[in-house]
Amino acid sequence: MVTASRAWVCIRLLTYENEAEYKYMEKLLGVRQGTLPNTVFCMLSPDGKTQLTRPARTPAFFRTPQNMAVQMQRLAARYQPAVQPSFVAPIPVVDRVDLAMNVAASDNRPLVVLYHPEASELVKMLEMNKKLAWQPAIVGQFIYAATTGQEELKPIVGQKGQAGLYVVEPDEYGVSGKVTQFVKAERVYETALTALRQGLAEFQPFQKNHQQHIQNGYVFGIEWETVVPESDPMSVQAKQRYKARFESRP
Amino acid sequence: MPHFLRVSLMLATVMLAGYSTTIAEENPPQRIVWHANLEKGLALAKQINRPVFLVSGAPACLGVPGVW
Repeated sequence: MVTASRAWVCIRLLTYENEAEYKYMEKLLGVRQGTLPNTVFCMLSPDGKTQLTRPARTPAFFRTPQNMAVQMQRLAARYQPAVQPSFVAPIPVVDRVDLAMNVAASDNRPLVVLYHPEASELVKMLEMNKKLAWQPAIVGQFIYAATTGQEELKPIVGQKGQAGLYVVEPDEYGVSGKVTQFVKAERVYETALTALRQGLAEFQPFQKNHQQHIQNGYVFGIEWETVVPESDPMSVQAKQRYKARFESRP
Repeated sequence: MPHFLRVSLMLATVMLAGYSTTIAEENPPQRIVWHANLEKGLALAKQINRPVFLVSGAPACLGVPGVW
């Protein structure tokens, strides 16, 4: 499926973190306002208008990942790439650093944060580094964030507010992370690849147990506040039940 | 297992395609590249004429972050 995905633009939205995207998904899935489930799946034509599969909560109708990959290859073959093979797509950044940290923890991947207080310099850094992000050894291995706001770096332990590229290892819950590699902005072009390679080599994913992770999250009082209130009825009810059970414990 | 967990796990399988629970990262498996912004992702697809594989998920389960 990963190989098949390379012929697609894969977009993974964060269900409750952007109001406009939430509304788009409500419309796509055809659900009542304020009732969007926490997962959505659909395949679309390059213009984003024609649905190549029916929108659903999951791609379960493909039955197996193998079948899904075959169908993805078949569907992608309908469209000829409109750019030269030398085209390099932008770095796929998550909109906020705290959110990117959470996504990185959820994916069990290291995070790369590009920071510069000057917007034009940050754009330059992103542009200079985009080739790196798509190199075979690097592609898909990191979650990325970019910011001009120094306050966004607060959850990163070991950063000194300097402009540059940070490779960060998120904690188990993605509420903080530690710097494992740092490259100053002026040296990013020459040494970022080495930092990324090193950061990747050093990275040790957590061995997570889903139930234990949630239980410990409650014990530690770690709770995630979404931008849009969670609206999946089953998930909301399960959360209420779990919370009540947890709080009634002696 | 509650239904919502089953559904979330199914989507997580797609999201974490290629992920394994190995400790060493010497040879990390290939992974899907996810664009995380609808507007930018759709604009890119249009520009390069590639179809769109769209998923959405919440990086928190029962309010606890760090898992899909």
